[in-house]
Order: sequence, then C-alpha cells, then structure tokens
Amino acid sequence: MVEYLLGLGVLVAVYAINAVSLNLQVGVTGLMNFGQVAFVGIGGYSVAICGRYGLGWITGFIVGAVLAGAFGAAVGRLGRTLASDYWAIATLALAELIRLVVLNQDRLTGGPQGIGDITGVWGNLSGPARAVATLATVGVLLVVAALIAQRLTGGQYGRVLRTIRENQDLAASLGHDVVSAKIRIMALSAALASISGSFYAMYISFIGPSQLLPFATFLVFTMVVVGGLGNNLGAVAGAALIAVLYDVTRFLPQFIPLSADQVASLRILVVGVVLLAFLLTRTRGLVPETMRTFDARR
Amino acid sequence: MMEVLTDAAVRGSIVALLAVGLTLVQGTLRFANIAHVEFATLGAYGAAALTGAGLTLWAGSVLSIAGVAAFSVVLYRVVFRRLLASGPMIALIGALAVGIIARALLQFVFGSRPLKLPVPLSRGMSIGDATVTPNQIRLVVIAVVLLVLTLAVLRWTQLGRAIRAVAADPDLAEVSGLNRARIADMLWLVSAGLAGAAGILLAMDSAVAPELGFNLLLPVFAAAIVGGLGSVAGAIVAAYAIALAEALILRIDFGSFVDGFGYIAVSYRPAVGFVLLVAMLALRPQGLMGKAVRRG
Repeated sequence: MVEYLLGLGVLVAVYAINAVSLNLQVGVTGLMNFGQVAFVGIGGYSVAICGRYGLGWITGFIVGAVLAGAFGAAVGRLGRTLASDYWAIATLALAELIRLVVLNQDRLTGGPQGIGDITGVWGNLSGPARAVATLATVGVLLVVAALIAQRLTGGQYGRVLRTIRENQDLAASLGHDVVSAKIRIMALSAALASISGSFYAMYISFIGPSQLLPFATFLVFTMVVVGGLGNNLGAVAGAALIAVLYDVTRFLPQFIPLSADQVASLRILVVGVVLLAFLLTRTRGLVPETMRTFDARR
Repeated sequence: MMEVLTDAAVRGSIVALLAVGLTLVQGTLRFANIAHVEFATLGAYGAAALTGAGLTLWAGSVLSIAGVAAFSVVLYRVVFRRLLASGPMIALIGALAVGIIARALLQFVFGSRPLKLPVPLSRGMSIGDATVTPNQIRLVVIAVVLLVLTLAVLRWTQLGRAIRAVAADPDLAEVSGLNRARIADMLWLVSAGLAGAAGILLAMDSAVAPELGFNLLLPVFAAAIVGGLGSVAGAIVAAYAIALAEALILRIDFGSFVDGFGYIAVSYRPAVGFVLLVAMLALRPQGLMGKAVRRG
C-alpha cells in the first residue's frame, strides 16, 4: 500500500510538471497546444536513446530539454500568426507526425515495440529507500518548475503573456514583441514538458508510440481546466486530482465485471465527462486565476 | 495511373462530405468543431446497430443519418451553445471532450473490434490498371450527388441564402429579420447528416470502428482550411486535391531524383495530409481560394 502511494505520488508529480507546462501555454498565453504530448515524447525518447548509447540520464534529460525547447520555439515561430483554433489543429498534426516518425524509424526508436529497460533513477538503492528517493527527486523538479512558472507569470513577462491571450493586437500596439514572447514561452514550456516525459519514461522504464496518442494531451488538458486555466497552483491541484482519478479507475474490474476493452473506455469516459462538466458549470476551475484588479475611480 | 485516380476519388469523396459540414459550421458560427468527424463514426455505428436489428441497409442508413442529424441539434443546444458562450477557447476544448466521450462511449457499447455492414460481396471490375468494386462506384456517386445537392441548396434556395447571409455577417443578418437560432439548427442538421452519410459510405467500403472518424480529422481540417473558411465549393475541391496528392506522393520514386531515397513507405500515408496541413497553415492560413475573413 505504501509502495502504491509512493508510486502514485511520483505519477502526480510527473503530471503536475506537465500540467504547469501546458498551463503556461493554454491558460496564461492562450496558445491552444493540442500536441503537448510531442514535447513529452521528445523527453522520453531522448532519455531512452541516450541510455542505450551508454550516456547518463542527466545527459538524456538535457538533450531532451534542448531538443524539445528548439522544437517548441520552431512551433511558436511557425504558428506566430495563427488564431487559436488553427494553432490547435496544427499542433495536433505535428504531434501525430512525430508519432508516425517514431513508429516508422525502428532502428532509432524501436518502432511499435518502443524501448524498454530504461535505467531508472537511483539504481544503487533498492526497495522503499529507492521509492522515497525517486519521489523526492521528482518532487524537487516539480517545485523548481512551479517556482519558475510562478515567478514568470507574476512578473512583467506574465502580464505581457496575458495581454496576448486577451487581445493580441493590443499587446502589439503597446510595443510588446508578440512573436518573441510566444516563441520564448513555447520553448520554456516544451523544455518543462520534456523533463516530465524523461522522468516518466525512466520511472516506468519504457517508452513507446502508444504513449504518444492524442489522449495523453487530453488528460493534461483536463488537469489544467479542472485546476483552473491560468493558475499555476491550480495546474498542480488539477494534476493531483485527475492523475489519482485516472489511476484508481484501473481497479474498477475488482468491483464490476467488465471486459478489458470496457474498462479502458470507461476510464477515458470518466475523464471526458469530468472535463465537460467543468467546462459547462465551472469554467474557471477549482482554483481560479487571480487577476490584479484596478479601481479606475481612484 | 488509373489506380491513383480511383483511390483519390474514393478518399476525396469521404473527406469532402465531412469538410463541407465542418466549413459550414465554422464559417457561420466561428466554431472549429473538432468533434465533427465523430458524427461519421456515430452514423456508421447507427447503421450497424439498425441493420443488426433486422433493417435493410438502405432503411438503416437513412434512419441512422436522420438520427445523427437530430442528435447534432440537441448536442448544439445543450452543449455547444453553452460552451460557445464561454468563448472560443472553451468551445474548442469542449469539442475535444465531446469527441473523446463519443469514442469512449461507442467503444464501451460496441467494443473495439471492427464491425461489418451487411454489404453483399461482389467482384471488382478492371478499369485500366485499377480494380474497382461496385461499392466504391456507389460510394463516389452517392457522395457526388449529395455534394451537388448541398451546393444547389446553398445557392438557390431561401434557406441557402439565409445561411450565406448569417455566415457573411451574423449581426446584419439578425437585424435584417433572419432567425439565427433556426438557421443554426438547420446548419447542424445538414452538416451532421452529411457526416453521417460519409461515415456509412466509408464503413461500407471498410469497416465500422471507434476511430473511423477520428482518423479523418486532419485531412478533413486540411481540406476545410485549404478551401478557405466557410467556402463549401473550396472545401470540395480541396478535399479531392488533397486525396490526389496523398495517392500521388506514395507512387513517386524519389530514388530517380536523389540517390539513396526510394518510395515513401505506405505507413507514412497519413503524414502527407499532416504535412500539407501544417505547410498550408504556415504559408496561407486564409486558404487557397478564400478571402481574408473577419474572425472572432
């Protein structure tokens, strides 16, 4: 039981880093990234491939973050003029493209079988000590990610990003470089997402194309919306809630007799219904974004 | 060469039927409905369930299409209209959620194993180097008839004029006495009905599966975007053009241009649509034929 809870804690922290990253894009800046899973996958495959060539996991993390950051910046540059709906479709297409490449480049990525036996963190420890050390490591990563996000959104750059979300033309007319702001936030978010992907691949010691399906992005969207679009703390809270919800539904067949197919679809259904319910009744989420208010009468 | 053309005609017809509905709704309600392709899946499963219950293929298909069309109006009034009131971003995420829910529900009820519609097996005919089944001919003919009908309704009827008026300027249409809510209902009926028909036609040529519609999402959006926002004729032309490009690129021997390259692997087929879509968005987001339309 303790083992399971520690594992769940790692899962929550990994998803929370991912949600903080997506929230910076969607919640704060209004960039509808439907291909978030691509950044995560770059991180996962980087750590796996670097491991295969005998490079340490730290190298894999750095390679992944740099590659994802460059890809994120390229996406930001490519889509600089796109409205939110086209941005969503373009990022979805890019993520699917990456999944196709991964599926077909067997020699590098293992193709449909993926890459297994990825060396985990703290390999010199064992049992509970290792589980605690792993949780502590990912916990530190999450705190660092959240602090970066918090510092960013609380400062001048964060105000520029929110202005872009509300009215891009207004942001440009105030003299802000909209394209550069978008490129920078995409690069940073992509690097964060990549780190969450690297850690996840190491933790379950496997990465495969099945982890790059659009549903993985959808899960993180649910976390961000449930937590509250635009609020970093909300992203973490939403990640905790939805990650736990999605994980405990694995045990449904112990209570209701269902086929494996039905369990899989039911787990997805639960997440979908929660997201739609929040969008319809509590659009601002559990921890709504706090905006600085300004009293014009003063 | 004939094979390229028949391939493109079949795939283009399906993509066109879906892209027309998508572009109509997007042009009029300014709503990129990611869940649009799920109407195709829904229609196919409806036909599978009804024929399974003993109806003929024709009766089951017509009933299923009518059901999908009616359902889309309910979905719009109960879900999408409320989402749209919260802004385009919320509507976009909501449409994603609706699509996921639809696929999960269908998989829960029908399982993930593909179902077959009761289509009689028949011998294919040879046209040039291609083999065409009567099914594929039926598919293309029915699709073209539906597409021409849609174009005719939009061009020459009272309803079509009203739809075009709302698409061009919703506020002006409203003050001119058009009933926007009723026109929105009609739009959903038409676009979801066409999508349902596309789903059934595709399922007759292949099989009914939960991912039937979702696999078409990107080519359909590519056609709608290339055709220009809200342009029905543009979407149709673009759909066939994209299908042709997909079929052609796989048959080009790149080895004759650059050493070390050969044919592109067939498993990369969907990639053609994705690359076209991204290139199109990066280079000409207003579409090949579209004028810059006021958005927002």
